[in-house]
Amino acid sequence: MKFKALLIFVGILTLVKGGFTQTGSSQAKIIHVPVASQQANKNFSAEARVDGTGERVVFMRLYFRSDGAESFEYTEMSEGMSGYIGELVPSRFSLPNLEYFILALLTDQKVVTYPKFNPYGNPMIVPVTGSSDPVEQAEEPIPLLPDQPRAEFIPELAQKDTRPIDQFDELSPVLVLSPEIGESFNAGEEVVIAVSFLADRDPIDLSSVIVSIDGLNVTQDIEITENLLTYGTADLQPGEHQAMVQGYFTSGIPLPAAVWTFEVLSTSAKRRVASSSFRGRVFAETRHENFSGVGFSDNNVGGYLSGQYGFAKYDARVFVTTRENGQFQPRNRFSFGLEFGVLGVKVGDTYPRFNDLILWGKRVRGIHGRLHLGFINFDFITGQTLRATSATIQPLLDLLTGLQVTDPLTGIAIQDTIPTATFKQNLIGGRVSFGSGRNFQLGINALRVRDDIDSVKPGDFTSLPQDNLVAGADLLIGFDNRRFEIRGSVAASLFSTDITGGALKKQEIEDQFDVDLPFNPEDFSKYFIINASTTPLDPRDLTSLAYNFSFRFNYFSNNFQFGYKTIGGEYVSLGNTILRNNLQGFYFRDRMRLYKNKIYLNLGFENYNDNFRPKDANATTKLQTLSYGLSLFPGGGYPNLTVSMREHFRDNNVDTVAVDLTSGLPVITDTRENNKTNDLIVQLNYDVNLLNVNHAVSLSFITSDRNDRFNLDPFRIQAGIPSTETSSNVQVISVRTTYQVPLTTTFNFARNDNNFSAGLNTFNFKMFGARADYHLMNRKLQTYFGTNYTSASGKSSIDGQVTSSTTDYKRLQFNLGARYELTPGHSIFMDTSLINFSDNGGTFDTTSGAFTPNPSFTDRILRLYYEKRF
Amino acid sequence: MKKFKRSVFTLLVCGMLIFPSFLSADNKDIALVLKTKGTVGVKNPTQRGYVRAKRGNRLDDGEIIKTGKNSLAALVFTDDKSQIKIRSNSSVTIRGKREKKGIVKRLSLSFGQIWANVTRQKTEMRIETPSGVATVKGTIFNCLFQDNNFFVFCQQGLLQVANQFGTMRVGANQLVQLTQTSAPQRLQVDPDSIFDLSDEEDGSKLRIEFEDEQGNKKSLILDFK
Repeated sequence: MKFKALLIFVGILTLVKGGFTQTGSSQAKIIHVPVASQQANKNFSAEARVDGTGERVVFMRLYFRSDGAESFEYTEMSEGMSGYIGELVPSRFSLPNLEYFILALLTDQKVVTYPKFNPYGNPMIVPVTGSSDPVEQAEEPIPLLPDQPRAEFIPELAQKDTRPIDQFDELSPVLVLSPEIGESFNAGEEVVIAVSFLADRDPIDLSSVIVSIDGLNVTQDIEITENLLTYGTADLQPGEHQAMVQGYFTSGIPLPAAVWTFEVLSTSAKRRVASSSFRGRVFAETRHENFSGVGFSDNNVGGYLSGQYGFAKYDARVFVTTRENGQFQPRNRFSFGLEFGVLGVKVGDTYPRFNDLILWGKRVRGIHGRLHLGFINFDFITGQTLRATSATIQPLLDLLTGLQVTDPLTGIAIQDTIPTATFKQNLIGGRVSFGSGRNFQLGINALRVRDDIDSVKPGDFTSLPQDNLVAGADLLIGFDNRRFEIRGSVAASLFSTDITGGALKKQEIEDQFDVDLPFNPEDFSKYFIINASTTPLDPRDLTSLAYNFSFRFNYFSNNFQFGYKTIGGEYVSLGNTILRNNLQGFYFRDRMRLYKNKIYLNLGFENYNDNFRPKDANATTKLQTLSYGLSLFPGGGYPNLTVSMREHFRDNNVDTVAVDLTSGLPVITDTRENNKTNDLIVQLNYDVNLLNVNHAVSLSFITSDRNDRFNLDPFRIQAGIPSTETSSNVQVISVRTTYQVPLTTTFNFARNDNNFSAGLNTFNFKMFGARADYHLMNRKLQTYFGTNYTSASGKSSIDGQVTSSTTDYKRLQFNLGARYELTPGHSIFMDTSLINFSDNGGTFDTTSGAFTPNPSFTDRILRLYYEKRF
Repeated sequence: MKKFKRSVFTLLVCGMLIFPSFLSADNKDIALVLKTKGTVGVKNPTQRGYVRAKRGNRLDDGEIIKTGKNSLAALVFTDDKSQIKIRSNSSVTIRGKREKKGIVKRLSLSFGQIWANVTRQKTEMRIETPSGVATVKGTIFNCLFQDNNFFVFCQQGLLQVANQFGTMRVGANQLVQLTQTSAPQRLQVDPDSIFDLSDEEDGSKLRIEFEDEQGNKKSLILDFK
C-alpha cells in the first residue's frame, strides 16, 4: 500500500502541471453527465461513479472554483446508492461561471479524474445564471427521499460553514425575524415567515425574491416591500419544515440565501416550553455491500450541535467512521468552537483561510483562535495537517514463485517493510489585519509548515521531510457597498524539500554555492531550515514571489472584473497545495443584464503564460481563453435558454522536433503544442402543465472539440506519436413530472461519445434512468423505486502499441428505498440497491495475442440510516 | 420654450407624487406583530377606531397597540430583531424612523406594562411616559406606567432614566421609579411585586406568593406544562 496523501498530492501536482492524468487504472473511468447550466440561487449538484474497475472508491472529491478564484477548493462527495454526489450551496459559487472537476482515489491507490485529461487546466465550465422571473420558475420540491440523506454533514463542507446565512451575522443584509430556528408551532397555528432586508446601499431587486417552504414556491402569496417580506400560512402539516428566501440585489449580485427550519407539532405533541436556542442533529449509518461475493461494511456516526448561550455561541461537530485507519490520514472529524463576540476559538479539525496564496481551506487539526476587534484583528492557527503513519509491513514474496518467503532456520514468515511512512506535518500561522473587511482590510500573514523528522523511523519513508515558510500581505478596498472593489495580495515563499540533514552552516553554503551570506542559516533553523534543497537559494531572483490583484466594477447593469496574477515558478505554500505556480497573465470578464434581467450576456477573456519562467526543457505555453454566452429568461411560461461558448488556445511556440542520435538510434523529443478547444453548451429548461400535471423538461447539449495543429504532421505520424485531438458530445434529456397524487416521476436519458487521440481511444456510453417517489401516511412514509441502465463501449491503447483494451459493458441497477418519520425530526431510512455489471471487454496484448477479459460482477448494497434533529 | 416648461412641470408633478412615497418608506414596516393573545387592537393615526391585530401585521410609525384584559402582543422590530411584549391593559404608540444605522425607536407608553429585549444597537430606543423616559441601547428590561408612576426594572445590561428633575443609570436587577414631581429614585422592593416577570404568556404558569421565615415576600412560579 502506498501513502494516499502523498499520492493525491503528486496527483494534484500532475493535474496542476496540466499533464496527462493516466494515473488511473486503464479501465477505470468516472461516469459523469456534465452539468450544463446552473442557477445562481439553487444548489449545485454533480453525480458521478467509477465504472470499469473492480476496485472500490476510497473517496471522491468535487474540485471547484468560481468568480475568478486563484485556485480550486474541494468538497468530499457523499456516497449514495447510485454513486457519489457532490453538492454546493449557492454561497459557494457565483456568476458567471462555475468550474469543476472530479477526482477519485481507488483502493489500488490509482487516481482517476473527470475530465480524464488535464482536469485542472481544462475543467468543466458551467454557466451560472440568474433568473429575472422567479415566479415562473419550476416549483422544485426538495426531494425528501434522495438517493442518500442530504449531505449536511460532509465534515469538511460543514466546517466551512456552508449554511447560506448566519443568523448572528450582523453584516448580513437578510435578517430572519420569524420563525426562530427550530421554533415549534401547534398544528393549525399560523406560521409567519418574516424576513427583513437591511441592504441600505444596494437595494434588493424585489421582483427577484423567491420564497419556498419545503421546496414549494410560495412567492405569489408573499407580501413584500423594500424593507420587509412576510408570508403567513396555517396549512402546514405536522413535521419539520424548511423555509428558504432567495433573491438578488438590483446590481445583480445574489442575495445570501436564508434557509432555516422550524417545526409544526402534531396535535398529540406538546409544545416545547421555550424555543430552542440551539439546534443539532445526530445520525448513525450502516452500509453493507456485497461485491462479487466479497462483503464490505461501513458504519458512521456523527452529529453537530450549535447554539447560543448568553453572549457565547458554540458549535460542536463529530464524525466517526469505521473507515478510520491509523495507517492513513484521518477520516474521522471532530471540532468544538466557542465564540464570545470578538473572541473565538475552535479546537479540532479546522479549515482556516488567510488568502488563497498562503492558506486556503487546508484541514488543520489543532487550535484556531481569533480576536476580531474590527479596526485590528488577530488570527492564530497551530496544528497538524498530516499525521505520522508507519511503513507498510507485509509478507515478503518470492519474486519468481510469488510464494511467501520463510526463514529456513525458524520457518517463520519473513516480513517486508515498504517505506510508505508519512511524516507528521505541523502548521503554525498568524494573521494581523486592519479593518473589518467590509470596505477595507489590510492583512499581514505568516505561515510555517514543517514535517517532524522524528515522527518516522529512518528507512521507513521515501517521501522526504519538507519545510515551508511563507509570508505575505493582502489588501481589500471597496466602495459603494462593494460595487467597486479592488483586491490584491502578495506572498513569498521558502521551501526546503529535504530537511533530514537539518540546516547547513554558513561556511557550507558559501562553499557550495559560492555566495557570501550575511547570516548563519543555523541560527534561524528554528524558523526555517536552509540547506541545499532550499528554493530559492537567492530570493532576489523573485522566482518564489506570487502576487495578484483584481478590480471589480458593478454599475450600469454590468458586472465587470479584471485581474492579473503572477505565481513564481518556485513559489510553494503547503497551506494551499493546489495552487498552480509558474503562471502569469490577466483576465477580464463582463456580465451584462438587459431587458429587466430577462437577458444576460457574458464575455470573458484570459491570457496566461504557463511555465513563464522555464525551469526545465519545457517551453512557455501561451494559454488564451475566449468565452461568451447568452441566457434568456423570458418568463410568461416560455422556456429558459442558455447558450455558452468557449475557445481555448494552447501554444508553446515550439515548431521544431529534437532528434538525439548520440545513442545510435534516434531518440525523438516532440514537445510541440498548438491546439484549440471549442466548447459549446446549450441548455433549455421548460416548465409546462399538460393535462393538469406539471412537467419540468430539461434538454442539454454539450460538445467539446480539440483540434491539434500538428495532428497531420507527417513527422509525428511517422514517429507514431499519438494525436492530442479529442472530441466529446453529450446529450441529456430529463423530464420530471409532479402528479396530483403524491407521486413524482423522473426520467433521464444521457448519451456521451468521447474520442481521444484522433480515434485511437474512444469511450461512449448511454444511460437511461427512471425513478418514482410516492408519499404515504401524510408524508410520514416516503418510498421510492428507481432503475438505471448504462451501456458503454470503446477502445483504448495503452503504453503506446503494446497493449490495448476494449470497453464493452452493460450495467443495470435497481434501487428501492423508504423513509419513515417516527416523530417530527426523527427519521429512519432504508435503501437497497442491486447492480448487475456484465462486462465483455478486456485487455489485449498485441505482442502475445493474449486477451484478458474484464470481470463481471453483481453488487448488492443495503444501507440503514437513522437521524434525529433537535 | 413652451415644450421645455411643460417638461419641467411634468417632472415636478411626477417628483411631487413620487417623492412623498420615498419619504414615507422610511417610516413604514417599523415592526411586526409576532403574536397576539386575548384582545389586541391596532390603530393607525389616520384611523378613528382600532382594528384587531393579527400575527404578521406590519406596524408603521405612529401606530398604536392597545391590549385588553388577559391579553398580550409580541412585536419585533425589523432592523435588529429587538422584541417587545405589551402586556394586558396597556397602550403603546410605536414610533420609528429608518436611518442609515437602523431604526430610531420610540415607544410612548400611555399606560400599562411592557417587557423589552433590545438588541445591542447603534441607535437608542426610548420609552416615553409623562413621568420620564428610559433610554436603552442593549438590555432586557420591564416598564410599567400606572397612576403617573413610571417603574423601570432592568433585568440585564444597563439603561438610563431621566425626567425634568434628574437622570439615573440603572444596572442589572435594579428597579427605579419616576414620577412627575421628583427625580428618579431607586426602589428596594421585590420587582415581582410590581411587574409580571413571567416569560410565558399563555397562562401555563402558576405564581404563588408567600413569605419566608424572615418575612421576605417571595414568588414561586410553577410551570405546569
